[in-house]
Amino acid sequence: MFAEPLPTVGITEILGLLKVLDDAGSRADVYRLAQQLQLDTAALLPVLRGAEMLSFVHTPGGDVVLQPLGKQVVDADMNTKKAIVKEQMEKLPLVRFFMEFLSNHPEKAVEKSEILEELAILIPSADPEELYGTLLKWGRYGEIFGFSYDTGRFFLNTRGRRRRPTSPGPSESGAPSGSASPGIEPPESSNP
Amino acid sequence: MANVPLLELDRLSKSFRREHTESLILEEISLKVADGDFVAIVGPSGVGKSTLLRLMAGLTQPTKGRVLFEGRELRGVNGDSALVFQSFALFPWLTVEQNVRLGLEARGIDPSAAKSRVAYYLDKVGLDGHEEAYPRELSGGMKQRVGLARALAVEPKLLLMDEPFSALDALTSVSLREELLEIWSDSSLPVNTVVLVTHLIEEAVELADRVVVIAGSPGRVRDDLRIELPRPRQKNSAAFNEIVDRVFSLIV
Ligand SMILES: Nc1ncnc2c1ncn2[C@@H]1O[C@H](COP(=O)(O)OP(=O)(O)O)[C@@H](O)[C@H]1O
Ligand SMILES: [Mg+2]
Repeated sequence: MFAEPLPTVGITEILGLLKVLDDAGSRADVYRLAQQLQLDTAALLPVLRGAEMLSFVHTPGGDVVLQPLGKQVVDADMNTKKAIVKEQMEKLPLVRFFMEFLSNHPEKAVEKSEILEELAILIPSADPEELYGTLLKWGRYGEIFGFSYDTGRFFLNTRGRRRRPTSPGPSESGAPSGSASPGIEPPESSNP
Repeated sequence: MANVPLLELDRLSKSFRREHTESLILEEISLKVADGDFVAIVGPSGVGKSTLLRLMAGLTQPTKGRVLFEGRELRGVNGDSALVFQSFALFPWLTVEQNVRLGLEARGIDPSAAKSRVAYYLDKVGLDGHEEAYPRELSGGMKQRVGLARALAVEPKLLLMDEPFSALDALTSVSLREELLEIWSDSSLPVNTVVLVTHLIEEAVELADRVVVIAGSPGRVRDDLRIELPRPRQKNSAAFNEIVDRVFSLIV
């Protein structure tokens, strides 16, 4: 299987890049952008790479250009942003591989060391710990994967029920029964 | 009640005793914060911005003058305010979920109500999926979201933020500023008044309705500017830069 490594960067920085690009009129010169952000060009590259893997930007020549999907992310509210990131992540071969890998386990969870072994086989050129770190960060953001330090296990997030809202309004979280859905109902206020 | 500001500082002065001398840090600060305001306080490092925020939170008492909250003089900790710090101030041995829940149980909210409230605010700051993570597993941006969720979860009327984005890299802070604005303008959330301290003028002009400039020694209110720029603000526009330059000239 061919799988690209994930660049060592968080989703928050990728979202920041999209916003900066939008403010700059959708297109920027990479070198100038790095200067403006007071970042080393080398430090900006993984951010660009990540944004491109998720189809939020293109990088023709020395430029970076916001794509329509990237613009959609900028304009979306928080939960829609998460839903779009999740959708895009689920298209990445590496993410798909581990979704399937974990689904095949009865407990939908394995020891972290098993993930590291798989990563070392899939992408021998990358540092498995580093790649694992990014897979977990992205996975948590997209509510696809998680890790429990207490059990030492990497798991498939089966609560993952987030969908991009089709109509405006509160983002739904698909727990069907009304009363026990902590993610959507405003809690009672304790302020007198 | 309509004309009573949420928070009022009335000719407030603060000095600290160092060895045998009193040093005056803030002098005759008067300021009104209306319900719904987003106020940024800017000023050079050491001018007394954090001290001012602690006075608003009732964590330290004024040497002279008064702090009024909803028209009543504040004596002791302001239970209607919550603070977010630059340093995150999370408990390393607690998960994200536990860090946010901790403050609630201390306020006597029963465990099952606390649990659903925590889930609600974790969702609001985009931390769904991070419940069982420990702070050391998180990036700075994620840690600050935990700090924000913890502050929001107590459902304060006033959110006080002390340089909340200063420890973050440029791109992360861009994201978090935008998220803060989204939360502030979300009318379904109880908190709609924010006082944010920053030494970054651009950050103040991007976020706030009002920029209060504190300068000098002792620190005094040098100016109080209303920022009328429409939102979302165009950071590279001429109007934006003009205001930034104006604030800058007041500080130096
Ligand atoms: N608890 C304290 N005791 C003595 N001096 C203090 C105390 N807190 C702050 N100061 C002093 O007050 C001044 C203002 O501090 P601070 O409010 O932290 O400024 P800023 O947040 O604007 O950088 C500094 O000179 C600082 O050393
Ligand atoms: Mg300070």
